[in-house]
Amino acid sequence: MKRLIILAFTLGFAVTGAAYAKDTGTTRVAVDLMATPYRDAKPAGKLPSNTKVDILERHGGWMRISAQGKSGWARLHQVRAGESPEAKNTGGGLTALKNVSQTGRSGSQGIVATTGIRGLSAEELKSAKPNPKAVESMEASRTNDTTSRDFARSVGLQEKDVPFLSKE
Amino acid sequence: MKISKIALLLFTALTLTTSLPATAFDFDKLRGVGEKLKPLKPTSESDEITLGKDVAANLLGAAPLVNDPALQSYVNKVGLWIALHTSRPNLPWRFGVLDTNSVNAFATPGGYVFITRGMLMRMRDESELAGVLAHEISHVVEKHALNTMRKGKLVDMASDALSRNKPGYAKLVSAGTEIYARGLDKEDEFAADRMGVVLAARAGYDPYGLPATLQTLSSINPKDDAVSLMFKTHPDSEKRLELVSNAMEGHLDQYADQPKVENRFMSIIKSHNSTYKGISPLGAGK
Repeated sequence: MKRLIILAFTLGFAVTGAAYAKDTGTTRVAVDLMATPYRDAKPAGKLPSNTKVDILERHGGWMRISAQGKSGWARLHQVRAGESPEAKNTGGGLTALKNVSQTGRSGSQGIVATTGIRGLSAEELKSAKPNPKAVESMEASRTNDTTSRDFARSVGLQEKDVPFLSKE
Repeated sequence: MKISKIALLLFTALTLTTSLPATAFDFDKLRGVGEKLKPLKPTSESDEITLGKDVAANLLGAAPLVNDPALQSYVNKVGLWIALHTSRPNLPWRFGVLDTNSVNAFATPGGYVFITRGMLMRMRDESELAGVLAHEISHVVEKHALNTMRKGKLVDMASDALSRNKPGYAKLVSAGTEIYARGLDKEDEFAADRMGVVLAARAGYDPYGLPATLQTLSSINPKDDAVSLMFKTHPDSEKRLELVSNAMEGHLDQYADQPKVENRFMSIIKSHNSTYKGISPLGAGK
């Protein structure tokens, strides 16, 4: 029994570890890698478009990637996360694997084209019969300002005074 | 010769007409034009809420709510916390998770905000949920859906039939629901992205949750049925990601170290999944 538990732990760790290590993506464009996640940072090499990369970490609008012996920061929109689009039904392949180990959910495996997407196609929206009872049932889950505030503070969220962004 | 005379006459007539004082105009015609140009009466907040509620009932007719009170309550807390940082904190904000594998989120006028379970399952942390809810909340605050309903063919109906007891109201609600199948103006989507990231930062989250979700979306194969409606009704996710990242640069980078709140999110999702029994039958929403 003890052995089984140890085995389970080891396996769990292995899967999680593998999932992190194998978080991959593909460059959408030619990328000028940066040494730090800033636009005016020192250059850290170039990667051509369509290069398979390992995703090492994320920070703000940047992700640190590595390939061809180089590693550095690329902007989020320069990299398609997950494997090549042809090979996959959905994104986040590795996230899915990570999810299985962390949360038990199957991620993309459970959410593919063929698993009976029901509702919310354009046609179904147009022909939907109103369900006023369901709207009323939402009242039960409503919260109030105080609860919401406590809920935010409990995980250390701190309000900031941030002005809106202009359209450029 | 004759033609040029007529032309001259016409020209004179035109010049005369335009130089005449306004009092010489045909008053009836003027009034007609005036009526067309007159700005629509603004929709009252209570009419906005009622309309939003009835459109929400239609959306809930297409997909039921997930039967998990803890999950619904969680999403309401995150959502309200964001909404409190807008110019309309006192709307009766309500949030719901729809039981469908489709990846999408919607908001109807007055503060009804929906996210699909399919989208929630693709998120990594609370800052991503906060970012997507903030995008939807921005649509409500800026009245994007309401104004779209009032535009074009819906204009006359909207101005005359915004109250439940007026004829044409039912048509307005069903036409209003259709905008969720057609989508909003591209610019409204970009504006909601720009506003959403700021709301997330104000509420104390890492504002890059929305861009992270956009990256996830842009990495999904567009042929996947789960995203067909979302992709049909929204501008290209990659374009949105690029635009919002550019707008954020130099303004919101400094908030990138704010919490993503991964643990609370993961534990809610985990406990939801341990009891989830698959998509519930339509109309079974408790």
